[in-house]
Amino acid sequence: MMSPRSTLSGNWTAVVTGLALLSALAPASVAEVIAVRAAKLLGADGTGGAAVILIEDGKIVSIGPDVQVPDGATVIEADGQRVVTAGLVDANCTLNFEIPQLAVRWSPYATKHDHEACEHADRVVVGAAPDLWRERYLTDASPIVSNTVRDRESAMASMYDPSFENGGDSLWDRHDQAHRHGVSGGQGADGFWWRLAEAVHIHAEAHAEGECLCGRPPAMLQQATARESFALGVPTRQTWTEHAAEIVAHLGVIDSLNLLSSDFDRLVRSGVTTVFVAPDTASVIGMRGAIVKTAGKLDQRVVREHDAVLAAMGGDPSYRGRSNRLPPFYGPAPSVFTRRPTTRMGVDFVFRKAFYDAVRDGRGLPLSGADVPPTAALPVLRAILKHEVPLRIQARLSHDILSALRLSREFEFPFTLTEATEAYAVLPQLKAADVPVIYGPIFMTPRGWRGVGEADDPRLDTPRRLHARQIPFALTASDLRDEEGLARQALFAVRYGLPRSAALRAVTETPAQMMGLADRLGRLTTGTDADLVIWNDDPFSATSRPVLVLIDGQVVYEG
Amino acid sequence: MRVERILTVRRGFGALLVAACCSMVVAAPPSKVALTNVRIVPVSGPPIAQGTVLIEGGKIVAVGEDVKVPYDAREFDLSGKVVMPGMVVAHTWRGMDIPNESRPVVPQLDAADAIDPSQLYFEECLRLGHTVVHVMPANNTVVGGLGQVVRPIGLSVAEMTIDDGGFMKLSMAPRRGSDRMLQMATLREAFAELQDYVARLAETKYEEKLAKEEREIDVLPVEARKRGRKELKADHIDDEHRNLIRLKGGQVTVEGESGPTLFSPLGAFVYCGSAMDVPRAIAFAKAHGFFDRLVLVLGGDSHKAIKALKKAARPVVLPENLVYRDVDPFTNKIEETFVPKVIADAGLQFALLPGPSASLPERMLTYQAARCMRYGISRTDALRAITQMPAEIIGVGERLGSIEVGKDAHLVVFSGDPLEFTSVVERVFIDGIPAYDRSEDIRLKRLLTTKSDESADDEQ
Repeated sequence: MMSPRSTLSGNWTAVVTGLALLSALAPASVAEVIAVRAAKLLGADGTGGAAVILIEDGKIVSIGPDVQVPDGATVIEADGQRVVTAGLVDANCTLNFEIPQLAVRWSPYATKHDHEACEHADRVVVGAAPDLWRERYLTDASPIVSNTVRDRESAMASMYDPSFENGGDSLWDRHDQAHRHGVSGGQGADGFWWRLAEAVHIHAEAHAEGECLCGRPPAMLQQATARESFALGVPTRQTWTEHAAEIVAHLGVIDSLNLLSSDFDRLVRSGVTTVFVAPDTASVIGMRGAIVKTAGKLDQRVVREHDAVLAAMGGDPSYRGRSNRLPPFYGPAPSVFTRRPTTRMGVDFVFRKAFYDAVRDGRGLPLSGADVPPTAALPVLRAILKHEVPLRIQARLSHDILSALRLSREFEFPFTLTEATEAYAVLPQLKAADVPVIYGPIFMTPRGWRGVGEADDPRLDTPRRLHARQIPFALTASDLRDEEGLARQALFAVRYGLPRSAALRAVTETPAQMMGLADRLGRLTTGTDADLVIWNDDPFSATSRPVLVLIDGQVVYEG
Repeated sequence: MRVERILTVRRGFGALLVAACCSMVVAAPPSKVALTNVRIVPVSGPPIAQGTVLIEGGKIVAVGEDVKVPYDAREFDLSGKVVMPGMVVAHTWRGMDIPNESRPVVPQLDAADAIDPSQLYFEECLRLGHTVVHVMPANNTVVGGLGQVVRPIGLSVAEMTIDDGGFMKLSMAPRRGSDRMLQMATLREAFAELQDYVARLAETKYEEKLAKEEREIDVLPVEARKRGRKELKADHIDDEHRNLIRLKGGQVTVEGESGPTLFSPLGAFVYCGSAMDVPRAIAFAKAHGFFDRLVLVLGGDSHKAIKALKKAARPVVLPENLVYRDVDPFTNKIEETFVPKVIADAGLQFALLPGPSASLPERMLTYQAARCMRYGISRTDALRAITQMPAEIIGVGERLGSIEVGKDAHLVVFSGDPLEFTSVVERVFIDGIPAYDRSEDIRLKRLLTTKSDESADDEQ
């Protein structure tokens, strides 16, 4: 019904004249011109009205109400109720599943096991289909399987808990269906159920091998249950990081990014044309994200290979450090894999020391102590201090946001705040520090949604507040896709008081500006990339959806 | 264990809050209530741009532009607002403490015994304008028990009850740990056992009759059963078998011969977990005489059996996930199907369900309806699929599902167009009782910023 296609067809009036046909056959020197005739063009400045957009060579060459459509141009009509906007930009997108490290990880807490899993993952072909790893780990009863299974034991408990809200469907049903239809995974809640069911599947295998946690002392199980319920009460936010050190700013997600992932198809369907692929936040100073287009020619997809470094305050790095002590080795038995910070103090310390070490190293002074960053990361840290590499800091709780502001004052680097769940409580401070915010995702249910359960006190009208304070902010859908995607974050913000034009800006222009790509993305104007979305109605009303998506002038989705 | 305890505590606390803060406590309905200057979306007919709904004794007594408001009516001036009928949730297990009994065949059960009036779910229903809830045993069953139609206000199930449900839950999809062969075998066995039970009972009753007349048994067992069938009374039959007899129409049959009609008939909500279950559900309903009272609850890819569904022309309850995703096993490409469109195009009567409670707007029926519009279903049909149609499907269409004179006053007041996402539920009236007022919803307020949230003095 809504499969992405690469050609114009169906109900789209594609007026291809003989000249255009000739030009398609002719050498590349004759560039194809595409004209989008929009009955209503919605700009982030609130403007709306009829316009013609001329696209040549993937760029907008002219735009305006009086632009003439040249002979031989391929015309795309966006008439009637249809509305044209710039392609949406998700400034903090969490990709899922196609990344091998991720694929073998089911729990953000299984740090030790993940380390081993990562090592195995290296041998999995980058971009391998999920089925590949599934079969691999199902058939091969390696220690990883049993460890993962132990960790998942309490998942079983949750699953059989009749009060668990599975909508009355048996999880087995869903899992059976998934298997019957060859569905492997999925995003958001779907993916969560699938993974959970899959975990049970694996458990059954391990059980047969005698490698599961069944029959172990109840205390152990209880401990696991409390922790795991936290993890399983939410659509799990999968994590993937390099565990070699707490400071991994020298690595980039681009190296494990599968541009052919079906996750991108789903982003396109959501009207998202460009994403910042966010690194995991399990490290204090994490990897560098990449900015990529969600579809198009493979060699044109990468907009920026190495973009901002993503650091994290508070919960993620400290909690994950703390919970290294997994079954069967509960208690204070650190292994070589135990990670360093286990408290917010520790996170701040590691963060601070990394930058001081970078400065010392720059001056040729020796480094010492247990938390010396990897040598390769030091130049990147110095580049951050010189404002050459952008820094993002993820902080959810208000005091974590304040910690980030404090560190930023101390080292005099600018940064972009991400997630910022409790930003509503520190608006004046954010305004005073002039910090841009990538806010979200917005959730309706207050408790225990994200991460490690720390973001449990959000306010639905935070975007409105940010807007009222004139703090620049972008909205993100993070790992949500399709109907739950970025457009709906804007929809939600609008429901709770954000003006429509501001909402549109927060998913197009502002994120593009934050990433220094305002000249290419987020706006429909002469010279920008021809990334645009045609909606069947007002983009931020509940009754609308994208019906056509163009990236670099190419139709990449038609629904 | 620990987590469960926390949940329980929270739920208990929630109940206290609800009782204290939302005006949810049931009182006798005010004798006359008038909603004036409001845009009326009656669903059963064209909208009225500005008019009055007059309620008396919990019933709608007048709707229109020129309705005179009696001097003694409590008046709510709702200028600029929109009122629509209370929405109807056609099928949910929520509201009960546990979705299913662990045994497979339990026709004697009644959801009314398991509904917990203090559940947060009911508060959430009010907040979303869902005023009629058909609580039913869930899908992990063979013969699951009876449902109950309730309103989300009241401190006891009796107070909540709108209608003693007229439907039995059956499932064609295998229970957990079972397969389809076992599922069907168990189902057939339940009905075979019913025949056996009735026959034996008839025989016993005939023997008792003879004994009373001090006569010896004079016929073969088969004949004794046939004769005994006329002796059967309603109170001879236990709950379990009674409900199965009701499902078959209420009349007992012994050795192929019809006996007295002892009970009122019962309909069936039959869950189909995938397309393959649909023809079997239809065949089974025909074989056991409840086809004309059959409602199909669709799950998974059941919509793919659209030909069978269309031929059967029975009402359906759609899955809560409206978009079905198929992944082509060869190309790994995702194919999406918007299920309501398939059903609507086939001309079937259908009810939308709210999405999973954890989902963002999908749990609002109005949003589900808006999504239908997004994919080309008409506005009228979309609105009907959350009000009138589910009301008719669950057998309360005479009383609920639209704003018409004579119907129960279940009304939801929106700040604007109900299908527009910026609109919010401002008030809910249930049987004329002002049951919800957004300005007094403290739990919602908790999710919106207040002055005390901010460390600085004021917003600029």
